[in-house]
Amino acid sequence: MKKIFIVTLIVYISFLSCATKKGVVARKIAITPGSRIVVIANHTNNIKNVIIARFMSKNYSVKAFNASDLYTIEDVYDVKDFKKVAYMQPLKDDNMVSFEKAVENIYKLHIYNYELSKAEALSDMRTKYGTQYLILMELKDWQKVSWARAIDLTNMEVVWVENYPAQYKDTLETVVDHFIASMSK
Amino acid sequence: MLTSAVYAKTTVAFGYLTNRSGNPNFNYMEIIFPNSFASSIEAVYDCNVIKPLKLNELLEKKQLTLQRHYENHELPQITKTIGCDLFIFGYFIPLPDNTIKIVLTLYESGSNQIFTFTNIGRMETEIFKIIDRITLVLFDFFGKNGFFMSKPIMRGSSVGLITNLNPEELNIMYAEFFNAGYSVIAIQGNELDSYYAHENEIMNYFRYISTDANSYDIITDWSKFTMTLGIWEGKKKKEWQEDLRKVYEMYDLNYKVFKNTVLERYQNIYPRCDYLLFVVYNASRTSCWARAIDIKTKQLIFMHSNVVASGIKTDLQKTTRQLITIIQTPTALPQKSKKK
Repeated sequence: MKKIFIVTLIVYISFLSCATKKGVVARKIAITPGSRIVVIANHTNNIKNVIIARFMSKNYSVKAFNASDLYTIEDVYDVKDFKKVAYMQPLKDDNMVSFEKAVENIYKLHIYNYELSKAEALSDMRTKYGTQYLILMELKDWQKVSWARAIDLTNMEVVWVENYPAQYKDTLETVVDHFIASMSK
Repeated sequence: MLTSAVYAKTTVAFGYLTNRSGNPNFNYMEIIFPNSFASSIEAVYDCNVIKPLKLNELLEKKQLTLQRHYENHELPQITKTIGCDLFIFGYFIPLPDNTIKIVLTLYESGSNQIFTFTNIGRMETEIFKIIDRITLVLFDFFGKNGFFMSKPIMRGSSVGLITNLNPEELNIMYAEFFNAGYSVIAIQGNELDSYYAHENEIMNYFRYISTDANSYDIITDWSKFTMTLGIWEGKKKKEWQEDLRKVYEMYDLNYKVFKNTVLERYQNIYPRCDYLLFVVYNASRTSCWARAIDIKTKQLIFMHSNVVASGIKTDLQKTTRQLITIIQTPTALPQKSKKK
C-alpha cells in the first residue's frame, strides 16, 4: 500500500512539474543563417560570449550591441516623486480621488512614452547597425523554463517565440543551439 | 452591474437625450429615445426604471428641474437627490450623410464611475432599429461585466499587447495570438513593473480609459478641491502648490490631449499596429480584464472587465483563448424573455 502511494506521489509530482514546465513555440517567419541580428541576453559577459559564439558558428551576422548601452537606471525618470508630492498635503476625501487620478494618469503616460522610447532605440539598431532581427533570450536552470523571442525590426513585429523547459542533460550550448534551430526552421 | 439587482433592485433613472441639431423637428425624439431604452431594460432586467417625465416630477417636488445636460461633476449630487443607482442621459445629432450620432452617458453613483459611448449609424426610417443599436450597448455593459465593443478585432489585425505578464508568460500569450491569426507588435509595457513602487497597481490604472468618443472613467471634481492656505505659508510652500496645480492641470484636465499626441506618435513608430490591447490578468492567470484602443481613430473600442475561460482547470493559455474568442465575436442582443 505504502509502495503504491509513493509511486502515485512520484507520478503526480512529475505530472505537476511537466504541467508547469510547458514548452511553447510559435513562429511567423524563419530567421535563417546569414541574417543580421542583435542578441540581448540578461546574463554575465562570459555567458553572453557563449551565446553569441553559438550564433556565429551557425553563420549569423551578430552585431556588437550591448543592451546596457541603451540607458542606465539613473536616466530613468522616477515617477515615484510625483506620488510623494501628492501626499505631502493632508487630504480630504474629495481631494483624494482627484489626486489619485492625476497620479495614475502620470504613470499611464509614462508607460505609453516608455514604449515609444524603446521603439526609437530599436529603430536605431536597424538604421545605425543594419540589424534585421532582435533576439531576446533568458536562459535558466534545468528545473525552469528558458525563453527566447525575435522581433523583426523592419516592422516591429514579434516573429518567433519559444519557451523551452531545459532537460537535465542540456548544457548552455545545447539550449542555445535548440533556440537557433527552432527560429531558423 | 444590473445582475446584482436580483437581490437589491437597482434603480435606473433616465434623463433626456437632448436634440443638439438645432432643428426642432427632431425634438420629439428627446423623450422617445430614453423611454424606449428604459422599456427595453425593464423588459430584460429586474430593476426599477424612472423615465424622464417621471424623473422631472420627482425633481420638481424638490424645487429642481431635470436639465437637458449635466456636467460630470454635477452627477454625484443629482443622483443622490434622485436616489438612483444609475443615471443615463445624452444627446443626439442627425448628421448630413443620413446618419445619426448618439452620445450616451451612464453614471454609477457610489463607485463614481462614468461610461460614455458614441454610436454613429444610419438614420433608419424605422426608429426601433436605432433603439436596438443603442440598447445592445446598454445590455452588454449591464449584463456582461462592463462589456463594450464598438467593433470586433478580427484575425489578421496587428495588436500591441500591454500586460502584467512576465516574459515567459508573455511568450505563451503571443503564441496564442499567432495561432489565432493575429500579428503581434513588440509593445509590452511589463518591463516597468519591477522598477517602481506600486508595481502591482500600475497596469490596473489602465482600467480607466478616456478617449474622445468612448470613455470609462472616474469623475473628479476640482471645484471641491481645497488646500489650506494662509499668511503662515512660506515661499517654498507656495511654489510647491503652484507646481502641484500645473501637474493636475496637465495630467487630469488636459490628459486626453497629451495622450492623443502620444498615440499620434504610436501611429508613426508602429505603422503596422492596428490596436493597443491592455490585458491585465489575476495572480493565478485564470481571469483577466481587457481594454482596446484603435490606434488610427484613438478611440476606446473594446472593454471587458472579467474574462474567464470555461472549464474546471483554467490557465493563462485558456484565459487568453477566451479573450481572443471574445474580441473577434460581434455582440448580439439577448433574448427578451430572460429576466436577469
